[in-house]
Amino acid sequence: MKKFPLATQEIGSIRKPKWLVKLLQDKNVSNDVKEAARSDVALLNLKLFEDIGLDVIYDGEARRVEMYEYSIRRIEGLQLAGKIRSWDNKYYNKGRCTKKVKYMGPYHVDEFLFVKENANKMIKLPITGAYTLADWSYNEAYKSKEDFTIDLAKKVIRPLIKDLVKTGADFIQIDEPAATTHPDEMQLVVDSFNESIKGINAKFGIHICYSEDYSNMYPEVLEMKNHQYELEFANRDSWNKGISHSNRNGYESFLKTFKEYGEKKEIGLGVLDVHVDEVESPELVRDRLLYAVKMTDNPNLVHVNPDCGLRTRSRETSFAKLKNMVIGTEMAKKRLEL
Amino acid sequence: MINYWSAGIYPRNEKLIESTRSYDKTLEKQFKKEKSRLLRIQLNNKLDYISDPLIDWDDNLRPFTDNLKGIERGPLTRYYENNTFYRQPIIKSKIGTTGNILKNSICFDLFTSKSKVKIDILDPFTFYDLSANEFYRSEEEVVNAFAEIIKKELNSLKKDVQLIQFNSPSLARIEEADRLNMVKKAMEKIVKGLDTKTCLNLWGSDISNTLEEFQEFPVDIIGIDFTSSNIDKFDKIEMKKGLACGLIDAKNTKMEKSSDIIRELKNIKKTFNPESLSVITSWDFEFIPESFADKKLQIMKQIKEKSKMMKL
Repeated sequence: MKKFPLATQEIGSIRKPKWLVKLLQDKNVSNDVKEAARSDVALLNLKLFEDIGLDVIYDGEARRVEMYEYSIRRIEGLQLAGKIRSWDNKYYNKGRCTKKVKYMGPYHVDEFLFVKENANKMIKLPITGAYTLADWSYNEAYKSKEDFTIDLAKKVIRPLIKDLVKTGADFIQIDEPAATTHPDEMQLVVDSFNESIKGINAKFGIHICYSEDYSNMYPEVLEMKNHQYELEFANRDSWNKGISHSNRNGYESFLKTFKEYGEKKEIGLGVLDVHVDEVESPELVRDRLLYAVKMTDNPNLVHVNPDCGLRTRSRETSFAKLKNMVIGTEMAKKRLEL
Repeated sequence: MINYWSAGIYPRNEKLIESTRSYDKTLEKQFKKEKSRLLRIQLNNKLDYISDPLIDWDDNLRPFTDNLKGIERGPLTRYYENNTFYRQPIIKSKIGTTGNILKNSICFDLFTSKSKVKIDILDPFTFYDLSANEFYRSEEEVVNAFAEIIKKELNSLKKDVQLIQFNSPSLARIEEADRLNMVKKAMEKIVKGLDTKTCLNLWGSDISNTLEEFQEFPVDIIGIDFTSSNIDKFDKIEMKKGLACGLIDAKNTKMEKSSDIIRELKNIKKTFNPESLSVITSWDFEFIPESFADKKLQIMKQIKEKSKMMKL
């Protein structure tokens, strides 16, 4: 597989423009017009990502309501139960599994084909993984969570990935934000990931975020057949510049473990905190990357991304952050003579 | 006779969710109206203890996080293994209370004279475990500081309450004898002079290895979450206290069958031989949507009627 040291990429979602949200909520607007508007925004996102200089792109998930609900609506056996609190007055629509799951046909193919036709950079396609779908849903149909998760992996996610690869997807990011919620279920996370991609030839990443300690993934995660981890770190790191352990306290623990286990997989290093409006300076991004390269001894293993999807920030803030991410990466590359 | 009650925060209905999101000016009025309705639902479903549904609380700690002296509101933090987050209290200096936080956060004005009132509060260890301590020197100091707070809070409302339920998911996780003993001593300070019935509700963990230690805690009832603790793992014992059985799964939309619960209760009675038996929810109902919580309350009523008929 060709190496791209410090390749910059985005994780997934970008906030939809206000005009699009308004239009999508308007009952008098036809579905065709709504779909065309989504295409416009997908195109706009692609163009903005390219102009900023990202190396690997997607469409900012312009066609998806939300990573979890979008999938639940498209899998037989799952249905939405109602709203559950995430925090304070923020709620999400939670699904319930009432009968054995079944693949109803590809649900990201059209959006992928649109991206493929219009993108001039490498494409990374994000999909929601089996473990997170199971963990975030009520299980009324299976004897155990293990059975539910593995069935989702084999009967839904694997055929979906097969269809996506058939249409040309060669880099797929499986989003598993729930992966580290139950540290004693890491083997299930690994097994469901491996079942999802079994027999399929493509590059696979796994995106995990807001874990208490990523080191808890070891040693089980060594068996995972992913090529890249896309992880959140900036949220827990200091905003001081520098490449000392104390200045890079958000990265230290995981990178030490990563090295200890002799990992050869790539790390998509979260260098932007998606929960604050403050924009990281290019120098801060540079130092986070230099620290990761110092700790891994291998720039080919380090890739660059925000902690998570940026949809909780305004579009202006998101693009400003991504711009500084690219500038900071260039500064790091220059320092490393890459 | 078996007692029935539900625990903690009840889910908000769709209208309230929208109103909280749009910061509706009539929100307070809406909360009050909905609380009255939910209290009526509890009465109609024949629950023996009625509690404030706490639908205006943003998380189980929030009234304390926002009103305790010495504490600041911290970052969003995952609430155990759930896809739900709370604002972590950060202990910056010596904590203190006016003693009226709970009194002002519970709808005492809406309970009818017929209601036997239950209140929910976290135990001192769970308060400690869910907070970030930047002031006290040890775990024990923090636990004792929270115990003082809880005691003061309970003293100001004990006349209005017939059952105090200490919700204890963090405590349920610990197994070390010295730590359990430390919390037991803190609990002794809390309940000293309190003549209200108390329940220590051990949510979310398998406590089959520690039940013996919890039996020594100064409470009248032990709550076991039987969706997390498998009954087969408990040895047959003579329980010296009442047992509240968390048999109504508050984290799954799958509806219980009353016949299954009756069978479980018979089994539990045989295994534990408790002084009294109660059926409760395994956690806060807010982990399932409102319509499912309503149905589960109806199922509790069915279980109550059946168990009465069977003289269980």
